[in-house]
Amino acid sequence: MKIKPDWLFAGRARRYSAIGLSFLEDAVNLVQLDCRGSVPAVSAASLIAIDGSVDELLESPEQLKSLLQPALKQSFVGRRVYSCLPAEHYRLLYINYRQPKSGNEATAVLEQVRERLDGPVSGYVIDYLPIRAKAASDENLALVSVSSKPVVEDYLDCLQRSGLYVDALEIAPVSINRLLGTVAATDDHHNSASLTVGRYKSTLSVYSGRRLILDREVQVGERDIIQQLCRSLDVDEGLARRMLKQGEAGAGQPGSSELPSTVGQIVKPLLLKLAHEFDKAQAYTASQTRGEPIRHIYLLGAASDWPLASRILTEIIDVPVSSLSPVTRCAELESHLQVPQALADHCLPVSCGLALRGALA
Amino acid sequence: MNEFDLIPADYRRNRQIYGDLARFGIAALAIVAVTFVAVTALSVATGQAEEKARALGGQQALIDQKSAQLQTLDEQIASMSEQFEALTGFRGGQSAPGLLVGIDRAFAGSEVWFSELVFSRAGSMVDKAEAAQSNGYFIVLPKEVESATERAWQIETHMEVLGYARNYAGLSDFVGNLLKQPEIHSVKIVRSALRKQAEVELVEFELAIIVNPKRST
Repeated sequence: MKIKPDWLFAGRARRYSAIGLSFLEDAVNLVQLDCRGSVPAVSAASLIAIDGSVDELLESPEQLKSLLQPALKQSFVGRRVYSCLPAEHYRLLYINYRQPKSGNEATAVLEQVRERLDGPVSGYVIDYLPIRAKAASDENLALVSVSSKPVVEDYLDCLQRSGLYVDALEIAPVSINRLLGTVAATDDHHNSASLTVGRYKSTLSVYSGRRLILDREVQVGERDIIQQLCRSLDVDEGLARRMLKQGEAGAGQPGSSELPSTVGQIVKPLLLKLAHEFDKAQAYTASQTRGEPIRHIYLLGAASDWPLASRILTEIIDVPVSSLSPVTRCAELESHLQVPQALADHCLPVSCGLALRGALA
Repeated sequence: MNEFDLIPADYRRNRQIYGDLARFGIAALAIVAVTFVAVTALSVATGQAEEKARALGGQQALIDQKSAQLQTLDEQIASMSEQFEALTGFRGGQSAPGLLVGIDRAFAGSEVWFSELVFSRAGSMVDKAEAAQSNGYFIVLPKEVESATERAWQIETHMEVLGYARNYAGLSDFVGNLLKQPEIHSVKIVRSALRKQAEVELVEFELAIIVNPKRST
């Protein structure tokens, strides 16, 4: 195990947050915040494309190092990182447990989790967040993250060998929730959701204030929507992407075609799948928060660049939908997180949320 | 608990230990490196100093050699000077005519006459201490290893006079006149005796006249 002497950077690193590092399906995103002012400001951000898959990259620390080092040397201070485990390497469980009158809460949660695991507990990395405590009874609800210990250790070793020192490891929905709680108009009394549209699948996360109460995968991804558009209009992938990004900005104006509305009609069935999952999440959230509905949805990932996705989803589910990727596209973030315009396209929400963990600590 | 932390506790602990070991290793390496540099620097400095000392030693040997040569030359110079002075002494001193003029001045009016007069310019080896008491002219010779006393070459220019005086008063006047002459250093009456010749009593005497080594002007 190679140890980077992080204390060498301690002096300057105190002024900056740890680097938020997250893996997308085709890129690595790094974000670092300058914590000297009253409002955190993005001091460095980098979006580095990956040749091949993330799994292949994580099996080759040297390749990861050569990929990251130029950006790290050029723009970032220190080598401390906060990262999140890729979604396929953990699973979330909702555990009801009884608060022990005398004893450790963690032990009570662990006892409940143990029944759902294959093999001994020592083979897993388990952590939990209390979600809800019923005042009338001593029954509580906790969100538990379970991941294979060798997988976690391999992930940490890979980052370590690539010259990074992982200070904290968490999961993407928690990072996004931190970003929403910090820079968006969420508060402890309202429920909100984030819909992250990835290449092959999407993730719907629901938050009640600072608490993550639901995180669910939806088997609809960017690739499905693009391919649907390619098949229907007989266009290549690049043109299909441009159509989705162009949206409805020029629709109805002299000289413009009515193509954007046609695009909307083509992708709507897939967006309906997402809306259907949202309806189910809405029902679950209401049951867990005494009828409190989800009041806002933040679109992340590929769909955040598709104006028609926000419009169609808003029409279907009747809940305001805002794009949050890149973060500066969301107007209400301006006063809470300073993002230089030059870095805006590289500031993806998960990495921003990770970097904020250090800034808020 | 407000945040997920998926880094296993034992992994974090081990990493801390490895980190501490790495820091210790770096510190140890730094100390070793500093020590190595210091030792190397000292070694280089010592080497240079030794080289300088060797050069100085060489120079010292040369200086010693030159000093010995100089001392030898000084000794040769001293010896040559002494020889030169000795030769000068031989060459110098009172000339016989000058001496005779002085004797002639002392002889005037005296009632003495000479039967034999011998002028001698000779030298002899004497101990320096002994010689210091005499009034001769000395050349100090180099001290011999075996000899504990310093020897000197005494130059004695003297005149031996045999003659007769009418009486002791006449001899006394003649000796007194001799001592007044600048060419004469001292006069010793070696022998004197009354001698009857042709029914006349005369004083037979033998004088040793030591001449003044300085040339009279």
